[in-house]
Amino acid sequence: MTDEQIVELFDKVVRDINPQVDGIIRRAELLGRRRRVRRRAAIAAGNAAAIAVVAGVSLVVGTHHASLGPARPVAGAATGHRSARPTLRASRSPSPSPSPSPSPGALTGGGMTPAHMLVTLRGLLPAGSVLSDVFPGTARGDLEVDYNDGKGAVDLMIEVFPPGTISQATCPDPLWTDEGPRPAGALPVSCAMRTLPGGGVERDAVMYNDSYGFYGYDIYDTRPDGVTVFIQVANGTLHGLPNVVRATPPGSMAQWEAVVESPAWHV
Amino acid sequence: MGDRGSDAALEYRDFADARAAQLFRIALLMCGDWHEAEDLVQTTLAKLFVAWGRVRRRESVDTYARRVMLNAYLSQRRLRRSGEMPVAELDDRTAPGVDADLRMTLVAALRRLPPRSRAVVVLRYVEDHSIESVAALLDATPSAVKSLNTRGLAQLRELLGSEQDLFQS
Repeated sequence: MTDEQIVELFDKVVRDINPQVDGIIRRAELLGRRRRVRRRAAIAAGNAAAIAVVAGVSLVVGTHHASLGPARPVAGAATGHRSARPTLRASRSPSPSPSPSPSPGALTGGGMTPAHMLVTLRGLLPAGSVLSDVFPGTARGDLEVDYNDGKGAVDLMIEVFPPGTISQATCPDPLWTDEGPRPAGALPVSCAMRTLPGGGVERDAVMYNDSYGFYGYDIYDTRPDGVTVFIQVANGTLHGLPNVVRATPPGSMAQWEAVVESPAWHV
Repeated sequence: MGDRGSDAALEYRDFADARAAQLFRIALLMCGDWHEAEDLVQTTLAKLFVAWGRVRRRESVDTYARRVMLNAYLSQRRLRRSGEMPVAELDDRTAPGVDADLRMTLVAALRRLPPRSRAVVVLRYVEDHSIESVAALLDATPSAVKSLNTRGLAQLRELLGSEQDLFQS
């Protein structure tokens, strides 16, 4: 077979490969936006290690996704509509005690599974809360979901970092500046460091917003054993473009502090 | 890409719309699996989305996209090295009237090449990249790429040798 024949062969085959790429592009953009939000949170934490971890999570997501076979539509990404997946209604009030959950030894790998995290989160939310649209590309120790307190669904992320994978989040000085107009009635940007009674250190922030007005609570709770629990509760959803549905994220800083401080989160 | 830049967002979307199909073709011929090719393109475009603001200012976006996809592909191959089997079943998705046998035969033969050789051959013959250009994308020396290309082509000729009938148009 001559070089020319090989060129001809490739040309012919390539001409006949005509994929439908619209779905791929939409899913890629959604994935990219989520990665960027996480990256922004990591950068805002002043934490190079966190950025590395975020990158690692992205790789895990990609690998996991690939192992599932075809690129699958993320809820609402392809159509702009919400998915028909069942929602989970929280049935209990917030509690500082661990929710019933399998022991770490019951897990087959490192970290809580997204399903386990979902059950745990549900146990920590006020009664009547609705969780839906679990982002399917999450890995162990990593959950992203829509949370609705009855006033509009918002994006909620929780990550549990093992010791040594992330250093202490800090508050910048000066504080962050918004990338666009802040929604009318929004909470002001803020950041505070707290030492908890048990020796943990927490960074409680209200983040700067992007050009869509998307922002939220952003809390890093680093325990004495080095485990860090991160939560971000936004003022809108992330199905494609950020969709701001309210001026302020649901709940209060105190409510979300109680969630991240729950001992139910573990590695 | 910052959300602040609606122009940048449009630029990204234009790029993705214009290039996704070609990225997919490269991905499919490299990995040999339709679903995996979709994932590779999705991963590539997602990373490009995050880096768009920087990339569009500093380097060729096409080059960046190919480098990202190659890295993703070669990383996956490394992870799967022990488990990769040459051609059991191939997903056959072609438009009506297309010679599916031809594509499947070529993809099957490519899948028998080592991953880096496969990447070199695909980039050279699908996109007409020079040896130097492929070397830059693979972060390898031109002589290494030349060697991969020579070996890959020889192997490909051997593998396709018995399929000559398919290639008579």
